[in-house]
Formats: sequence, C-alpha cells, structure tokens
Amino acid sequence: MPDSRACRRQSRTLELTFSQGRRHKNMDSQQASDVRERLSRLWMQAEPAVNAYVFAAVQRFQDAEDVVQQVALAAARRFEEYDGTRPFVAWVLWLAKSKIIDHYRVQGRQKLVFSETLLDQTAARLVERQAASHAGAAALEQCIEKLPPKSRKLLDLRYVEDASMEAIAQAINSTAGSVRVMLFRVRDLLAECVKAALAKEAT
Amino acid sequence: MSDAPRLHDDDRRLIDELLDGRLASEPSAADDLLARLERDPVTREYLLERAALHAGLRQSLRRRHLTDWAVSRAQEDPPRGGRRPRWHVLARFTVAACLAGAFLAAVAWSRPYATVTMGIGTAGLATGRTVRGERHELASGVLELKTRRGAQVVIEAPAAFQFESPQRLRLAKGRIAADVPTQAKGFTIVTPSGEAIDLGTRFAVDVPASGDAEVHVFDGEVVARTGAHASTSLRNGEAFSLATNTARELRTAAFIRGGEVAELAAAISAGQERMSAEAIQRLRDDPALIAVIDFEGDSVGGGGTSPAAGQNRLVQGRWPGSQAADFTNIGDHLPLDVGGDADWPQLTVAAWVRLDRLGEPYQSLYHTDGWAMQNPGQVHWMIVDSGVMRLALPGWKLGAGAIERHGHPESRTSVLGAVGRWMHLAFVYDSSARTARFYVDGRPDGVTPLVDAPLARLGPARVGNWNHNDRKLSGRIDELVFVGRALSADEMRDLFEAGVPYRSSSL
Repeated sequence: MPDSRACRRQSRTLELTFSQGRRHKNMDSQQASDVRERLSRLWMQAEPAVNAYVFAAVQRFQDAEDVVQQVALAAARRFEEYDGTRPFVAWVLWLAKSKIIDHYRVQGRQKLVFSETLLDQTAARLVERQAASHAGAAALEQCIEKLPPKSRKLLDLRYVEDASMEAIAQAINSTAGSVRVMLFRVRDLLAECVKAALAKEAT
Repeated sequence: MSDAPRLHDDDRRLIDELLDGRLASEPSAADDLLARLERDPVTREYLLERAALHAGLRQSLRRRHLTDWAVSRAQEDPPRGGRRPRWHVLARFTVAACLAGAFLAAVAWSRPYATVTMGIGTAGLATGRTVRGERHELASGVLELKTRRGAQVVIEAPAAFQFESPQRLRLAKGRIAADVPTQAKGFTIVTPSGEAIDLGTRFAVDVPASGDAEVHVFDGEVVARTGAHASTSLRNGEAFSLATNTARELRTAAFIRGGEVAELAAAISAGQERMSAEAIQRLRDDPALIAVIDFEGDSVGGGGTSPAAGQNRLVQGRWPGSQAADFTNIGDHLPLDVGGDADWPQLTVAAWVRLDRLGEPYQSLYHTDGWAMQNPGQVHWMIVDSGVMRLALPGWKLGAGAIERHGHPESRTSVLGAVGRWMHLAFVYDSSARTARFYVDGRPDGVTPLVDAPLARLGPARVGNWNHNDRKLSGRIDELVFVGRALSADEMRDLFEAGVPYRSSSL
C-alpha cells in the first residue's frame, strides 16, 4: 500500500481514541506512539474480517457501520487487555460479538438475530481464514471498474442510496423481483471476477 | 476467497435476501436459514464470502460516491494552473489504494455524526456545521443538532460533549434534550455517572458541573444504566438520578427543546437581546428603582444589598452567555435584601420566570422574612396550585367587587400554559388607589379592589424556598425588578416586549 497522507489519516480515529485512553497515561510518548502504530496495523489487517462478521449478522447498513465503529472504539480503549500471543482478529471478533448482541438488545425482537452459537461459529471460521483480505478489496475495485453502467447504477442505488428493492425497481422502471435477480447476478459476476483476479495474482 | 462447494441457487438467493435485510419479515424462512447456518459449514462459508462482498461493495461504492462529490466540488472552484485532471486521478488512486483500511475513516471522517441545525450564540458551532467525534466545549448559547439517524438534540451551555458515534453522545456537563424518532432508537447519552438509552422517546439529561446526572423522560421509555448490571426502565413523566440511583421530580422546563430553539434564534436575530438591555438600562436610570437583580451586574438602591449566593445554581438566562438562578431541590433559595425599612405606597415587582413544574402547593417567587399578621405590608408573591399568581400582604382587606375566595388578590390567568418557557410575571400594588394588578407576558390580567391597603414593605427576603415546608420553587428566575412606583399598563407591555426572548420563527 502506498504510504500516502490520506492513508495515514485514516487511522486517526483509532489513534485519537487511543490517546484519550487514560489507562495508557504511564507510557512515555515514544512507547505510546509505538503502541498506536501497532494498533493501527493490527486493526487494518483485521478489519475485513470484522466487516464480514458484522455485515452478516446486522442487516441494515447504518446499523452495521455503527456496530463496526463501536468495535473499533472498544479495541482502541481496551487495547492493553489484548494478549499479544493470541490472534488479534480473534480478540476483535470477540469484542464485535458483544457489540452485535448489544445491538440486538436495543433493536428489540423485530430484527433477525444470530444465535450465540452461530456468532461463535462464524467468528471461528473468520479467524481461520484470515488471509483473504486486502488483496480481495483491491481486486474488487478493479472488478467494479469493469461493470457496465447499468449494473453500476443498480449497485449505486442499493449500496450508496440504500434504496429498497421496490424503490430501485421504480428508479430503473422494473419490478422488485427482477431487481433481486439482477443484483444476485451482478454480485455473482463480481465474486467470480475477484476470485479470478486473486488466482491470477497467486500464479 | 476460498473455493467452497457450490450451494444451490435457491439457497444462495436466500443468503442475499438475508444480507439485504428482507428476511426479518419472513420469520419461518429466517428461522430455517439460521438453523441451517448453524448446522452446515458450507452454507456458513458462503454467507461469510457473500457478506465480505456485501460490506466491500458498500464501502467502495460509498467512497467512490463521496470522491465524485468532492471532485465535482473542486471543479466548481478550480485550483490555479488547470491541474484538475491530475487531482482527479490522484483522488481515485488514493481511494482505491487505501480501501482496505478505509472503512473506519469512511465512517468517522467522511460522514458526520450530526449537523448543527441551529446555533444560537455558540461560537465555532454555527448553523450548518457538521460534527464528528471531536470534543466540544460550549461556553454559551444553545445548540440544536440533528444526528445522522434523525434524532434532534438540543444542548444548552455551559456544556462539554463529544459524539462517539451517531448513536452515542458523551455529555461531560450541560443540559440536553433529545427527540428520537424510530430510526434512531437506541440513541444513548453517556454521562460521568451512567447512561441513558432511548427506546423511542423524548427525554432529557442534566449533568451539572458537580456530577449527579439526572434523566427526565417526557414521552416513551428510556433505560437508565448505572453499571454493568444496574438498569432501570423509566417511562414518561419519570425522572431518575444516575448518581444516586433514586427517583427524582420531573423537570420538564429545565430543558430547552426543539420547538423553542427556532423562536429563540429568531428573537436574537431580531435584536431582542439589545432591546432587552436597553429596557433594563432605562429602569436602572428610573429614580424610583429599588433593585434590578439580573445576576450579571445587579443594581440595588440604598438600603439594600446584592443577593448573597444562597443555595441555587447559576445557569444560562434568556440570552446566550447570560445568567439566571436555577432552583431545583427543596431548600434551594436566593437570599435577598432590597428596599430596606422604607414604606412603599406603590410597588411594582416583575421577573422573567421559567417554571419547571408546578410545585405543591406553592411556587415561591418572593417571600419577605418578616411576613406576619402583626407586621402589615410585608410582601409574599407566589404561584398557587391552581396555577394563578397570588399576592399576600398582611393587613389588607379585599374590596366589595373582589372575586377571590382566599382573601388575597390573585391573577385571573393561570400561568400553567407557559410552563417550560420563559414568561414575564408582574404585579403592581398601589396602596393609595387601593388596587392590586397582575400582568402576564405584558398583558393586564385584572384588578383586585382593596378596602384596607397598608404601605408595602420589603427587607430581608428569599426567592425560592422560604420555610422549608410548602414553599419552594422549581425553575429559573432572570431579571427580578423592584420599582417604587406603579408602572403603567403601557410600561408593562414595553418591558415585556423589549425583554421577550422569542419571536415567531416564520417571520
């Protein structure tokens, strides 16, 4: 990854939270800066797994994004509790599990709720398959570029506007059923494209 | 992404339905799928792959959208030397390259947590400004914010706050009122002594500098959490101390709420604050002035002293950065000694009052210590439980036309309608004309004829709690004025109109 200013800026929230943590006050500034850097690096590695975990268990985008942010803040605040001999991703997914359960509690019963067993199973699997992350994200970028404008519009309506199937159907003069099928196909297409790009990179 | 064995298309479609949030309304299909996910590692693997794609798409497409927006903004205002295309390419490149680590930034930096919909006297937090996770100190003024989820929040100075997310707001000190729509359910205010978690409601939190945060629920339900296992459910009309885990009295008007903010802002921009200051200055120059207690630079004539600190909390008055005395607890009071030993043939007393709630049976506005039947003319001014103002001077007798049944002049108008807002209350006593008049918001309310009318007497007195029993005050007092003559109806109207902190926001 290029060491651009924008990239560095992106870990600012974590650093900010970290430096506000009172528990770290006994460190000198060099130590604190080392720890901050370590936290940012670990978070960036673990983030795709956290995203997949939370977006699977929490369906609305805004909810999922809020939960991921809660996890990031908790990780920064409680970083000194992290046992460095164990995988970082396992620790943040453990934090994520409790944030997801908190979210379920607040939302009440009307939402779809993963059981603790299922949350544990999915977390365990994500810890196992840590590797596929950043390369996958970069590949996804390339694959999005290759999409025809019509598919891009469909995805923008779903992922940027957060529109319902019915609203998308109205916007593109179609039916909700057709929109579901089209989305399903575009996602398949992208998944295949990413897989192919990664396979090519591996050889 | 790994090579999981392919699932049947119908099952894969169901996973998409789950991720798109469409299974919540189909409980049986949802239950089947959840049971299957627990049972079958292949289905789980597919779910995780699809969820990673789903999250990646949300993140990437939103980033692109924001970049496009930023680029189009930059092109509207092109930099020197026509270097736009390079900036555009650089932006795209940066976004693509940083994507893997960008999610947190996308949430934290690109999307504000809240927007200032109205900032009144709030330096640095003007209307339209966006707020993210930074800490804000509000030395003066009133701030109205709308969070990303649509919760409307009003914060009154002095305050210190910081959003942790669009759904969590940390309040170190200050008063906050929140109106939370369904889509923002779960909105939480975090205080030093606990949290208030909204379950779809209108509620408020008061964090004084000393701690002891209180939660007040106007409507709906709120969970007060004071520890990992200590939660209390509060419903409308209830209030709770997070610091002591005990019930408190509801104080609706301690908080400025949504509707009031626009009127306050309109009044400020109409120049009301200046007009108010000018009106008070005219009174200070009035030879008959006895005292102006405005908690800024009190004017107290001969024979009186500025109020001692007493037991009350100085809070914001009608204008940003101004001060008023706030009375909350039984016993809260302001000791006052104005008017000396003099006899006052005519007396006008007026105040801006913001009542939190009607105390029982009396809300005490002003009580002289020397009030007794053998001590004629001593002034007591209060609001009684029916919501009307009462003036009680020992030694007087109501005239033939008086309609009051308790032996004391009372206003015809109840002040109950104005609970929760600033209102201007006044009485004019004239012993030579043998009348007592009341004014509510500058309007004459009625005249009570008297047969015997002793000269009025002031001296040592209290605003707020007087006898530790049935006389207390729950609310704020600003600009308490004593004048040794009878102000006319026109003067009372002018005093109200110059000092009123509201204007219709549609004007």
